[in-house]
Amino acid sequence: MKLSYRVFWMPKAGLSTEEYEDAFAPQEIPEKDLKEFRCAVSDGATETSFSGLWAKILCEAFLENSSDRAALQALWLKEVSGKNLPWYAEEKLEAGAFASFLGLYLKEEKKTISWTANAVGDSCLFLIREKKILLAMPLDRWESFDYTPALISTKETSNAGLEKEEKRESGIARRGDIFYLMTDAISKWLLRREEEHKDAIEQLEKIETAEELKTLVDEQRQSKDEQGRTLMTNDDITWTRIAL
Amino acid sequence: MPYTAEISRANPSCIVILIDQSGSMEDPFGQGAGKRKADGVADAVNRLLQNLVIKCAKSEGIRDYYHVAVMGYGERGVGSVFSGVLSGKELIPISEIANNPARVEQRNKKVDDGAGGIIDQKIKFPVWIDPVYKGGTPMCEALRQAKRLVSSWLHQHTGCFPPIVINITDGEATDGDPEDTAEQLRRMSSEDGNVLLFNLHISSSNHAPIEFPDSENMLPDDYARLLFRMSSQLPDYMWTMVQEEGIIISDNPRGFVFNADLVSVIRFLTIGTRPSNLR
Repeated sequence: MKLSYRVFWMPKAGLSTEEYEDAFAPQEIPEKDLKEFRCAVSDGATETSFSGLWAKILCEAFLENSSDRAALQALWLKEVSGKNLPWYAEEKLEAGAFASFLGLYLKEEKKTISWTANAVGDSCLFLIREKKILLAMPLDRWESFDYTPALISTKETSNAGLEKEEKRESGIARRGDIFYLMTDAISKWLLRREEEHKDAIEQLEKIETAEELKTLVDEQRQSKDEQGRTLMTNDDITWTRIAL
Repeated sequence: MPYTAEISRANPSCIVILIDQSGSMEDPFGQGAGKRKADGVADAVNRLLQNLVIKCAKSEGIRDYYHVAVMGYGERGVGSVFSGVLSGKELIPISEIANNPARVEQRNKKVDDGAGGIIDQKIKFPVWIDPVYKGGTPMCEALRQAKRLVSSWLHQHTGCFPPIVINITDGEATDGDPEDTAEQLRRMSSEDGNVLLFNLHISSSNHAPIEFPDSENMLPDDYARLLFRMSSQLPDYMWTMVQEEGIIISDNPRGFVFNADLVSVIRFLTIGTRPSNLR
């Protein structure tokens, strides 16, 4: 299968790119026919420490089809420990890091492309067909975003019941289908704007450069609805676009 | 919509804690041999500062989301209660608090041993304030000092998430009627809403706490009714947090607890200072 893969990302307004705590993988893909394809996004929780690193580890492990969570947790711990930390940083590490996760796997067999997605938390997959959202998961209503989502932790004791929270969807993709993998702020915005017939997909499909996304995001972060809520929450933004 | 401003390093907010240090704070919580109120409050405020610091700690260090003052009122009038190198300092950035506890104690915490038992785990317990209990209750002056700090803060931070003032007391003011000053404090505002004034009344009696009441009529005496009137209504986001704690409240509760025991002191401080929108 041939596909186009693009990633757009930007940190919260007022923060530097070093402080961006989402992650995605792969960084880019070779231009050739692929039998299978994997990609992922993850959103490191703001209130935890070294969560951007944890998000990156989760995404990269998905590319390798590695599901050994204990090994990933050990890798995170190895990266963050051994430093001489003040009392609060030690305590923060003790609480662990948390991140959402969303992975998409595409496979071509006998000219049919099947897809499987799995998700924990509020990063969302959208299957776009003919400029409409055919499927959104794990959340499909914009009102659902304000609740505390289940997240994957570097501490196994905090992962109790996580399997129940994991959502999985699969299907057959058609040529011309587009998948979006998005972290929460832009996912929520997309669902709400589509529900209100504001043609968000059309706006997004016109975007070719990081600068163009920034213009749109800055504008949506500043605009308010009649109740005074901003149209897009000020959060890290990650949007990967996979077009078949 | 009020109380939606982001709290960020560029747009920090402020918290002012007022602690009653009058002589009666030596009495225990509840009747009998409970923990002294002054000790319980000092522990709860130290724990609150610790939690705030941890909330603001990121991989690269502390983000100054808040400036915090802890003021005591009692025998020596009203003043900062920080011990150690922060002694005498009023409103200071949370990073300065993080890096300068008076001392770090080792305490025991009961934790699950993973096999059905409970074991003691040693934890670090940073201490910034120590218990004090002597003299009268100059609450009016304490509220005036809070007004001074908040007013100067608002002057420099016009778009901030509104300052939160939490007054922890066990008795009536000995320097007049605090209601007017409390009202002046609540009337001050940033572009995001009015200053929030919460009152936490702690008790030596064994009466059940009255948490987040919505009407004066349900309160037992004039003093409780006065503190009720002095307290701000809970903003919507905090109302949701109280519900999530499993406390049943009405639609218009005030940020006020009467006859608080130690559990509700800690719970109230946690809810009252939990941010809605950290960036």
